[in-house]
Amino acid sequence: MIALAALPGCSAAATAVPLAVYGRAAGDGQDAGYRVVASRLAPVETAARWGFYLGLAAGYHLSPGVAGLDWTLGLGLHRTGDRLEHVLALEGGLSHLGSGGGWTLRGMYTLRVSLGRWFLGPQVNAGWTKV
Amino acid sequence: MFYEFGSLGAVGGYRVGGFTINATTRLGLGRGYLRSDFTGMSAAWMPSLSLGLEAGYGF
Repeated sequence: MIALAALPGCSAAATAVPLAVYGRAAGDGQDAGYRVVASRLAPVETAARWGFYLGLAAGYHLSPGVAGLDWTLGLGLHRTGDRLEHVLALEGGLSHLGSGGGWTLRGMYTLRVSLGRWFLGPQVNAGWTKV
Repeated sequence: MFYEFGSLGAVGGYRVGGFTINATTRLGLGRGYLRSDFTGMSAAWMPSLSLGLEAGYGF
């Protein structure tokens, strides 16, 4: 801790959130459902803080011509700054469509622009979802 | 079968007391096939719409 505090931009202040619960619901069906997330901020506080989360999502598909449940396990990383926040996540899981099934693997990037307590920004998803 | 390759959207939210709630809207593009294999099957590009609501803590 002392060595890290000596680095530029670092302090010895410890900020830790050992566990977080994260819920998610969507109406399209791509990844609607709920997610339980463990999140931990870096023990050394800097101008930007890094954190991690691991999530599990279950959803209902309403994509054209098909409908079904989607269960997804996600791993994410987020960097929080004064003005901008970057969120990277990787999700993979299974889809159940009646007697059939599919799977999904996709990466997500979200840029949050902080406006006080509010934030707004774009999100990009790239990957492969079979439903 | 429907295969989605990606989506683009917007996220907006609010933070208070360590809690976060945000809404997402995403428009995706995929390709629909009549069967799960890609050979000899007709296919068409299809859009997908995603509306989401997220809530969390410390994130």
